[in-house]
Formats: sequence, C-alpha cells, structure tokens
Amino acid sequence: MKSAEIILSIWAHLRSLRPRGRVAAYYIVFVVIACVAGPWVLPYGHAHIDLHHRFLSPISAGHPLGTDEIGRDLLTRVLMGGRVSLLVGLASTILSTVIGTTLGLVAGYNSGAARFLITTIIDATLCFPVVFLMLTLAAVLSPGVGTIIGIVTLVSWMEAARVVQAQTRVIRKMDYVTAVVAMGATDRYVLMREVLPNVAPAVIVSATLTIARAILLESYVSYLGYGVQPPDASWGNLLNNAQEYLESDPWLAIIPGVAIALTVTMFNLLGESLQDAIDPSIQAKGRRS
Amino acid sequence: MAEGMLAFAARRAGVNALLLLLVSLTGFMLLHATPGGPLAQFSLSPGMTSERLNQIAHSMGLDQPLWLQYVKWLGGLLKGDWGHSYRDHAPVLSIIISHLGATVELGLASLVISFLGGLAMGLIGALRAGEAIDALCSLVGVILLSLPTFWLGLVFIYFLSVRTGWFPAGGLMSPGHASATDRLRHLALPAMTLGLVSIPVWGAYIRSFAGDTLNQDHIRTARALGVPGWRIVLRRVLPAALLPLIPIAGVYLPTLLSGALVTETVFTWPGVGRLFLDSLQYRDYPVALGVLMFSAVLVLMCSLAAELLHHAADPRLRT
Repeated sequence: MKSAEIILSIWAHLRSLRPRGRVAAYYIVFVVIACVAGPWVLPYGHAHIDLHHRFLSPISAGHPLGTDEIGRDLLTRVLMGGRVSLLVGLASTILSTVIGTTLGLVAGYNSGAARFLITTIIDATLCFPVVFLMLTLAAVLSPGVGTIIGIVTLVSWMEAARVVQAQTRVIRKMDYVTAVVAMGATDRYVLMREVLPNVAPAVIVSATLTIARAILLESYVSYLGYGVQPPDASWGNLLNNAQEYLESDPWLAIIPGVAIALTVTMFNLLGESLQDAIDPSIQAKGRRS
Repeated sequence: MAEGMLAFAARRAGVNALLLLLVSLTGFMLLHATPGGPLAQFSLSPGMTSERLNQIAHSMGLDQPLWLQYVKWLGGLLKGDWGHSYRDHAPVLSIIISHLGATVELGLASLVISFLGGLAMGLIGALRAGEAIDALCSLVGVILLSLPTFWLGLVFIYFLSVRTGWFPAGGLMSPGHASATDRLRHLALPAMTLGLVSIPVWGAYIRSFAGDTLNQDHIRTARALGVPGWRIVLRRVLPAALLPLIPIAGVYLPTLLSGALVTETVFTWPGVGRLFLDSLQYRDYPVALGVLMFSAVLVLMCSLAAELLHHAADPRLRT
C-alpha cells in the first residue's frame, strides 16, 4: 500500500519532467535491466573464450556486437562491464551523498570551528587534480571493486556537502525554524524534521549528477589500468587494450565508449531535468527576456 | 583599498600554505606507509638479498623514523631539492620542468579551443534564451560534458588519423623534422580532445553571466535607444560576463590537469600527466610525489593569482 503510493508519486514526478528528462529516465531503467538480466539471458559467459571466433565484427552471427581478441562475446562483456560500472557509480554516490549531506548539515547548522574545518577540507579536496589523487590512492591500495568505490567516494562527496551546507544556512534562518526553536525543539529535531526534508530535493539532484561523474571517474581509473582488473570487465577497462587493436578492430574501443558516453549523458540529463522540476525559478530565469 | 587587497592576499597565502602542508603530509604518508613502500621497486629486482635491501634503505635514509624522513623531505622541498628519481637518479624538479613545456602547450591550445567554443555556446544560449537553439546548445553541452576524454581521443585517432591519415596519432613531433607545422599537426588531435570536453564548463558560466547582464537596466535602456545588438554584446555584455570568469580560470586548472593526464596517455604526449602515470607504474615515488606537490603548488598559486586579478580588475569588489 505504502510502496504503491511511493511508486505512483515517482511516476507522477517522472511525468512532470521535461521530455529529455523522461527519455533519460526510461533509458536508465532500460540499461539497468539489460546489465542485470542480460548476461543471464545471453548464451556466453563473459569469460567464455573462443579462439576460433576472434575479432568478429559487429552484426556477426550469434555475436551482435562481435568478439574481442580472444573470442569473448562483446555484448556480454559490455553488459557485465555495465554491472560493475553502474554498481561503482551507485555505491560511491550513496556513500558520498550520505557523507556529504552529514558534513553539509553540520557545517551549515554550526558556525565557528566545525564549519571552518569542514569548508577547509572541502576546499583542499577541490583544489586537487582529481585523477592524480585517484591514481595515487589506487596505486598504493590493492585494486578491486571495493577499492575503486572508496576512491571515487573520496573525491565525490564535496558536491553534496556544498549544496547541503548552502541550503542549510538559508533554512536555519527561516521563520518556521526560529518558531520551532522557540517552542523548545532540539538541534536534532530541527535538523532531521525541518532542514533535511527541505534539502532532500537538492540532494537528489546532486546525487544524480554525482552518479554521472562517478561512472566517468571509474572509467578513467580503469582505463589507465588502476581500477577494475581483468578478467573482470568494467566499461573503462574494456577500452584498456582496445587501443592496440584500434587500426584493425575499432569497434572494440568504440562500443564500450558509446556505453559510457550514453549512460553518463542520460544521468546528466536526468539530473538537469530534476533540477528544473524542483526549482522552476531557474527555468523561468532562463526563459526570461 | 590597497591595504584590503594586501590583507586578502596574506590571508589566502596563509590558508594555502596550510593546505600545501596537508597535501604534502597526505601524499608522503600514502606513498611511504604502504606495503613495500618506496623499497618495493628494489625488492623486485632479481638476486636481491635482504642484506643488500637494508643497505639501500640505509643509503636512502629509509631506515629512519617516518616523521624524520618527512621533515627532511619537506626541508629539501623548500630549498629546491626535490630528491632524485629511482629510475635514472636525475633530480626530480628538473625532470618535472623538462616535461612541463609539453603540458603547457597542450593546456593552452585546449584552453583556446574550449574558451572560444564556450563563448560561442554561452552567448548564443543567453541571447536566444528559451528558444530551440538554446535547448540544442544545452543538450550539446551535456553530451560533451559526458564524453570520456580517452574515448574521444581514440575516436579522433581512428577517424582523423588511422582512416584518413590527416593527423599523426600521437607524439610531440615527428623524429627528424621538427617544423612548426609538424608540431601543430601533432598538437591538433590532443588539443581538440581536451578542448572539446571543456567547452560546456565555460559555456555554462558564460551563458549564466551574460544572461544576468542582459537583464540589467542599462542594457534594456541601450536596446530601447536603438543601439545595435552586436554593439551591446561587444561593449556591454562581454566585459561584464568575462570578469567573473577570472576566478573560475583558477578553479578550472585542476580539471585541466586531470584531463591532460588522460589525454597525454592516449596520445603518448610527453607531459607532466604522463610522467606521473609512468612514475606510478615504475614505483618511482620521489617523482610521483614531486608531480603531486608541483600540481598542488601550481593550482593554489593560480587560483590565488586569479582571485587577486579579479579583485584588481573589478572595481565593484573594492570597498
């Protein structure tokens, strides 16, 4: 009953999005289902090696996207890679949203030492070239999906923290907050019941944009050889050796890249549309004059 | 007025020094406190005995307490002695400087491309706000922002180099004849790759700043008086929209460096980013640490310089 209501309200919100946001939402649902269910449906294991059918070009019999240098089915590999890339994107986004929101609430609600400390850490992290920092961490830690989730989280939490901090500062001074404080509400009550629900929409927008960035960052680190390690696939590491075969078999490089570019674009479009939906003033401002 | 600026500069410099200390400590501890640490490189070579390993550790001062090593390293850093590469024993600072030129060349070329692209995109969006072309610009912006840099590079290599032979696929120049045209031809693909993905960064800011300016009273007055549109844009909108971009140029540098690392790898471009990746691969920690510190100093100095310049250029900020 309750969950049916939630689904209905999500549906209503999706319908209120701009067309490109709706297209993006449908695409994301489609990609998630394809990556989760696809490898079960397809006849090949993602590590199934077939040396008789190496370098098949796309639209070959039985291999819609062709095969790679040791005859593995590329479609299966892309879908399996999608599982990892989406998992890394989602997990690091959830982690960095929780961390960022918490720190943002603390920094926005308090003034003084806590705020100074948190904003200094945010500034320090932001002034680093992200890829340098990620590679350093990846080089000294043992590689794997868990590690890469941690690393992406470490360079992604600042966005949510900044958004939440800015909004919390504004909300804290609102009359209704002053009113509940006057009525004896505790800090905890104010934060959880008054501030958090009001920053939630902004957090959802920032999380959507963070997923897009996280998928992109994972692909960089994996492409450079420090992320997800073969034989496991991710969208980034599929391109890792594809450069060698670029001349003869460009599809091996082009197809996984299209998967990254398309998915990241769709998450960005969804985030942008959600932003318009929760804050119509931005849209109105753009449409003026 | 000048005092305010000085105080501002001093405060920022203080905070930056603190940040640098934090960066150096984190970087040093990361690379020294991990399994194997800096010695991992040597322990891998054949015929290595633990006795010999201890000797090496002693000669490099690695058997001293970690905090002492850090203090010595930091002291050397301040005096311009950034240590020596494990690979060829060259001084770290001179290795970095010898790779800097290629990165600056790539960075500037891509900056020109992304800034001009962003300017066109932002102005079109602001002047035609709400029309179809504005929506198209924002869509193109989102797509460009979502492209993995390395993949775009590979696509360029395939279509503009392998298939057509128009541009070389990588490297700084052809061995043997280093003419200006040859260098430009080598620069074209990496600069386009790095430049294209950065267009929306500038585009979004310019669109927003130009949009704000277009809505101000003096622009409406000028329009009402019949001043031609292009003249309003050139004389009124552009200066006001470009000023707030100055501090953003400082913030943009980390993004540019990250992109340069990936682009340099794809195009075997001998810059600082590639140097960093190579040094990580060879566990050449003094060089890796050096590049990390170098980029942090560069980023902080540039953002400070950009903010000071912004203060100097925008009279409204002086109170």
